[in-house]
Amino acid sequence: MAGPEAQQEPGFYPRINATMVKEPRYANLIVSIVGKCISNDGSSMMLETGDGQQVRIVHEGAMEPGQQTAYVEIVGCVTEDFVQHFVCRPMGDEFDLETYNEMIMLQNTKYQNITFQDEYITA
Amino acid sequence: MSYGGYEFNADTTSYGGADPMQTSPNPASSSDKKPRKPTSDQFLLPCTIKQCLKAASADGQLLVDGQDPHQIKLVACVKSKEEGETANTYELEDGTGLIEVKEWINSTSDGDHARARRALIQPNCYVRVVGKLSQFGGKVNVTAWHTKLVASPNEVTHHFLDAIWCHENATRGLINGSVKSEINGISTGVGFGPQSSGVALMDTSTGGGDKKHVQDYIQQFSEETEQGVALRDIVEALGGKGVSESAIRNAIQGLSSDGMIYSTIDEETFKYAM
Repeated sequence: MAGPEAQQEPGFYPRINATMVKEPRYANLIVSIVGKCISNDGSSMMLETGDGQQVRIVHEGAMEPGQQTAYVEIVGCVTEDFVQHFVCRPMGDEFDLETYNEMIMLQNTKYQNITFQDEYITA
Repeated sequence: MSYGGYEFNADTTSYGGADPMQTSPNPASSSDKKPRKPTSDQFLLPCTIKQCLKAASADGQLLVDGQDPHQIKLVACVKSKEEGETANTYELEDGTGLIEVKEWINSTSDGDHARARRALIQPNCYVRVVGKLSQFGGKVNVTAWHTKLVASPNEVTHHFLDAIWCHENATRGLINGSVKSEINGISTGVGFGPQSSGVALMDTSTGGGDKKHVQDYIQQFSEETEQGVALRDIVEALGGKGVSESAIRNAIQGLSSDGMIYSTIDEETFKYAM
């Protein structure tokens, strides 16, 4: 586990799901979450991720209409039990969330060595 | 060596083929050219940006998992794009790191199609990049000869799984037919997540290792004779490594049904199909 002083290097953001948002390991980290948009009231959005759980994404202002696809990737900062949105990327209207979830489970466990910044690799 | 079927000859590649350095303003003279690598070393390696950034080794070579990849493939998101007259420069990120990618532009020979393809690449888009790792000023970057928007966002998932597969393949020591002793624990499936979580990336049973041995052997010697490789030669060669004849026969049956090999003059002589 990285110490609080460890800075995330540019381009490093773990790919996680809604369950992982609640894990202390990812607290206050910039992360990526891919999910299906369940609701969007203009200030926050609910995303369902590949583990079947939901996570709240808080954003300032409405999302750009061009980015409103059924599936989106949010890059943002884990804050308590929600994610503060920085960037939203469209991921199309047909995305295999289940396989994506299996892939990120591998990235966050056995294959951290090829995906994680060294200071953030856990045993 | 083939990595999940990614081996190919640069001369026949559909990724443009032309060495981008030859289209740069200062092409190297022909006498400076390095000799072409053997075809077996001209493979395309899917990898993460972190693997690229960590590629620098002490002797100046750029090695990914201890190998010198002829070309690498990335799937990543465009963070920034800088358009120039002779080259476009992109900053790409994939969650594992950030890397600079340069794509040379040949304003005289590039057609409308190439210009339109490049115009589509904008920040926040996922792209597929095929190119070569290079190093400048202590920083690793990529010289690209193929950049294109991904066909589907599912390509992101596929690419990362592909990179994991190739990393496993290389680090388990299955390359060149030798097996490192430390993989024995993995082979039995003890204490590792993928087996218990039901994510079957590759055959991790001991039979999988034998299959790879047999495949590598047939691939290596397939072209030495017109008829291919005889079963007795495989048994003789791999017997010394502790692979039994029955395991070899099983492996051959599996490879044959996978379409990796085919029998030639009789049912005990095989050629590599890929």
